[in-house]
Amino acid sequence: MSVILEVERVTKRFGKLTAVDDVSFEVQRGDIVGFIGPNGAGKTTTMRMCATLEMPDEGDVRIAGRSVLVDVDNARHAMGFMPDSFGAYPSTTVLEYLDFFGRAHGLRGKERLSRIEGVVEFTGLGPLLSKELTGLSKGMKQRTCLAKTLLHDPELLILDEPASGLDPRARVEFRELIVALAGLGKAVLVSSHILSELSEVCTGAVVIEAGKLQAVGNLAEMKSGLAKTDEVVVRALCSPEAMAEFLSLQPGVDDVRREGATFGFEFGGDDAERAGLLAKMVAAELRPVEFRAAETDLEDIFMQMTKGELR
Amino acid sequence: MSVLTDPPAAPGSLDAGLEAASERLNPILIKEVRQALRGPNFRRAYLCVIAIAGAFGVWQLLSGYNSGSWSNLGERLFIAQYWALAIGLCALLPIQAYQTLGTEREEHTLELLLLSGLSPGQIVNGKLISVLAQGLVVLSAFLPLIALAYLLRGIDLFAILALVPICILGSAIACSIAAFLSANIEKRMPRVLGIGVVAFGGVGLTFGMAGLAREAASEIGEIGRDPNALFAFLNTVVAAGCVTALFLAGARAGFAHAEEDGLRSLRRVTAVSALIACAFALVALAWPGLQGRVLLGTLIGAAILLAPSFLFLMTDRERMGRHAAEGLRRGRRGWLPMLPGGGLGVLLYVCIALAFGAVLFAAVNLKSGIRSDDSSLVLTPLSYTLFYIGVPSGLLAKYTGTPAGRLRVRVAVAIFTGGCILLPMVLGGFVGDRDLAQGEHYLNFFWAMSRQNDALVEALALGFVGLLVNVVRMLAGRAKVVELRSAGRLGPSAQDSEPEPQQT
Repeated sequence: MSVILEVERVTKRFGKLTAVDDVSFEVQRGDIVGFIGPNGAGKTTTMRMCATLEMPDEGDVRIAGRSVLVDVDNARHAMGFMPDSFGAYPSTTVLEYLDFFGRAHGLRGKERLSRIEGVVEFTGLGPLLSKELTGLSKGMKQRTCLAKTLLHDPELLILDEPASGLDPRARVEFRELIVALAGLGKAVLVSSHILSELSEVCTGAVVIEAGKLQAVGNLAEMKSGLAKTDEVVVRALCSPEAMAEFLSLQPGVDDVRREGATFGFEFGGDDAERAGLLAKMVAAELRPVEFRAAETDLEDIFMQMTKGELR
Repeated sequence: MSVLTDPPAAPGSLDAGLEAASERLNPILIKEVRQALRGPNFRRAYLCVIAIAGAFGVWQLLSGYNSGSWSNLGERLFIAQYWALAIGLCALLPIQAYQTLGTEREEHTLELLLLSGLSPGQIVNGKLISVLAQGLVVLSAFLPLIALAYLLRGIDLFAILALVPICILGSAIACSIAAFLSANIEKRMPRVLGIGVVAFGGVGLTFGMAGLAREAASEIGEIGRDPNALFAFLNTVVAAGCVTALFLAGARAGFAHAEEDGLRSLRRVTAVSALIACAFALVALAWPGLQGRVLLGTLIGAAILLAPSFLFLMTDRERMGRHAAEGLRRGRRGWLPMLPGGGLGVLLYVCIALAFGAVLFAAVNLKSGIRSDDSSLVLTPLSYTLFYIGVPSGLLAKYTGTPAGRLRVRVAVAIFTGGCILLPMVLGGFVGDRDLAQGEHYLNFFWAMSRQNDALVEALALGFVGLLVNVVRMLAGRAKVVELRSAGRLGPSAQDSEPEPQQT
């Protein structure tokens, strides 16, 4: 796979504050990389540097091999940036908005019409073309902004908090669009505070805190690196009290926690011993319906990698 | 099946022709006109100006009826219409120009525009042209009333043909200044102050225009018959165009990417303005009926008008991007040092001074009515500009890396200029030197101008100091570009591997 975005040891200072400190990572074609970190971590500054809206004080960013320091015009052409806030022009319909940005990108005549048609079909904006932007829902505005971002067919998409303020249905639909874009070979760098959203679509993650890179890599590898191999989750149809009593009597079971009918506990044994524990539950007629090792999600990675450091 | 509801028009039809024409237009212009025609604000403003024009016209007619004086009714009606026109073009339109760029910033759409492939020039020009197009629509509503004023007699056709373009030019200058302020002021509070400045300036300009119409409505018709007046009028019109272009170039620089040479268009406009001034002076030189003072006025006016552009050229940051690196590469092949940032600005200004000097040299030898000491009247402003702006911007160059730093350096220029004039006076007061206390010293531009040729050598020496301070900055900037290039941060490595020509 080819590297589309290369962030190479970038540092950005605002006065005495070092907003981003020596951060490096890559995003490859077809990858969806989640950019996560607490508020004020430097996410937006880094994304704005990738979008050529801020200049790094040190280091460089290359988009499809074009440096934002040296080849700004071509770097901008290879990239589509969707900011966290969507500015809607008054008295402008969705079609006029897309037509304007198509013209701005230098698309002429039939080529522009065909591109607009393509992005409208992809984002499902067809029925809204004659609607004014100011009258659209937040979700539809985000779709319009995404359609605008895709008009010039960029290789890299930088999405800053795209799901913020969307209702659950709009979030799911937007997530599907992002996955579809990655399927088309686009590299996607996306930031969000809703980690469960990212967890479902991302192939990689970049964790940043206080301007410093905390972790970077493939999401599966990061999960396995942090996997809680000792933690087991169990849910059974028996009474919670019976399950609690059973677990308290088992050797190797420790730190039992309960959430409704689901129990979590530490169990140091290997797979054979886990199978034995499950067999005991069945024999004790506790009627287990779920017995699995606890999964590591993006939230766990985030919590383990960051310290909640404030600046 | 197409998802677009409006299919493209059939080739050969009027729509297809218009569509093809629209492909060549600035996208911003199309967007703004669409928005203006659909939105309520333009219609309201248009109706408001028409109502004011109608009210002024009726008032003039009634006052003529009451006084029984019908002889100059045409002139009075024209002046009334001119008032309303000036309100629309000189007071309301600049506010619209300021707001149209400011709204993009406030609505967070400016960054999308900058990333859309539109150049800063296209953004600023598109905005200004759309505002002026709305102004022309306003003007079209006045044409029947102005024609009526002419038919009623009492107003010369030359006066109408001179005053209406002057109002349009005044509007264009005010709009370009508004666009310049809007592009260069980012923070909210200064933006609010900025709109106050634009509104205040617009009202002042409106009164100025109306006063001009009142005073000159009858006399200005002489323009068509007096070659000196016609020359001065044409000179004013072209100078207004140059000033508009200078401010627009400054506005473009406000939107340029940090690593791009955003001041390139300002340098070009400055150079073209200087060439136009020289061309006017040469025409005056060859025109038998014209007086020598017209030629001098052209050059002195140009020297003073170009000072603000020099302020921006000199107080800008050093350019470290691809353009600076490419310029440096080209510069190595010749004697001319292609320097980043203010270096090219300094070079340009020295060239302008030399060009003006050459024209003056020709004028002294060829034109009667110009003395050799008149040359100081042109070279002194250029030299003092170089000193007043060059010294602080050269010394404080390291602060120009950020917009806030640039603003501080520009404020420092104003303080330095004031200090150069006032501090020796204060010192004179302390030491009891009466001449010094009255401002009679060579750091005082106004005193030096009054001394004419006696102060030329000192003025040139001060200009040289302004240049010298910046040589350090230019060489440091050049060295930094070379360092960055050799580190591989600027331009492809192929450029670095090119053999450097031998300097002789």
